[in-house]
Amino acid sequence: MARFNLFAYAAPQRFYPLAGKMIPWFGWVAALLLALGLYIGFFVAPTDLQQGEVYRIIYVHVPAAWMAMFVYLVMAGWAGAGLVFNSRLSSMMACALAPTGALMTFLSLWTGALWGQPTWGTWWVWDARLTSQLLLLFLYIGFIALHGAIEDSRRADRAAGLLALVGVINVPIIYFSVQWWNTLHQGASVSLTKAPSMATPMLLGMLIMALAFWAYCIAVALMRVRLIILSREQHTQWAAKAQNRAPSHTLETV
Amino acid sequence: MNEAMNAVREFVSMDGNAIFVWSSLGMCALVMAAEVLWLRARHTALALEGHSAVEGQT
Repeated sequence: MARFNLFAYAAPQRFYPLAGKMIPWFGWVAALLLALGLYIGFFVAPTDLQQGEVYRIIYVHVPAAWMAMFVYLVMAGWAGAGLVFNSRLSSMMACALAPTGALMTFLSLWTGALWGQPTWGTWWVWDARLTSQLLLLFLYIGFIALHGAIEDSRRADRAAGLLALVGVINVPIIYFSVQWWNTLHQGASVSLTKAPSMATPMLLGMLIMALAFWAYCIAVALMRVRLIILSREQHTQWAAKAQNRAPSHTLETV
Repeated sequence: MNEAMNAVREFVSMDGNAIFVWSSLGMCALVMAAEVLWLRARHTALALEGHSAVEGQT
């Protein structure tokens, strides 16, 4: 019996079609969960006693903020694997995740500002949570810029990978900032050790939206990694076939 | 009919916080849709590059 070998998919050539098959699945899961999460969040969940209706920003703010941190951890994980095992696909995955992580960070800051103004009376404060989240955005942008600045993609992978690993220190700082410092930002609403401090439909809506954002990030990262694979492997036979053309080295000789 | 209209108006107004709530959701929708459309357009462009390369070869 042939054994299923996961490591076989570490070859970009084999991963490319697999990723293509996975994208619609994650895309549909994301779309369905988004619809369900928004329905629960806006039509089932009750109005908040203290904040009124404006609290409903939570259904996009918290999932975006969670994904901003989580995507960074996964990106750094792939970058680290790329450095240790020298596997090309790992570094390509890290590159594919960076723009999506940056967008999630931007969305968490944007929705946070729009929530801060009506509840705190200010769009922005330089407190620990907000500042460390802004630093996360700069880390993502730094990763993308550094990778783009180095022409040789393998060298770029190593340099940007190192930056991603160093930046990991910022993630626990963001997460625990509300405990370590006095911040305007409220503490965690959901914790693994304590009972949730919010009504069940509110929590359910938020968790479903978080799952939806998670599925979205996977789908989009897979779309981007396919682009990266195609552009980096353009000279090979298989990529040419995937692109429906002759490989570039044959073209040069024509 | 009027009741339904009022319910919709009340929902949209979000307690007078419509600008904050809908700008948050709108930006999320915009960013996510733009990212997906951009990636699809890039993929199509790469495929087209492939086709034109084939045509150039013949």
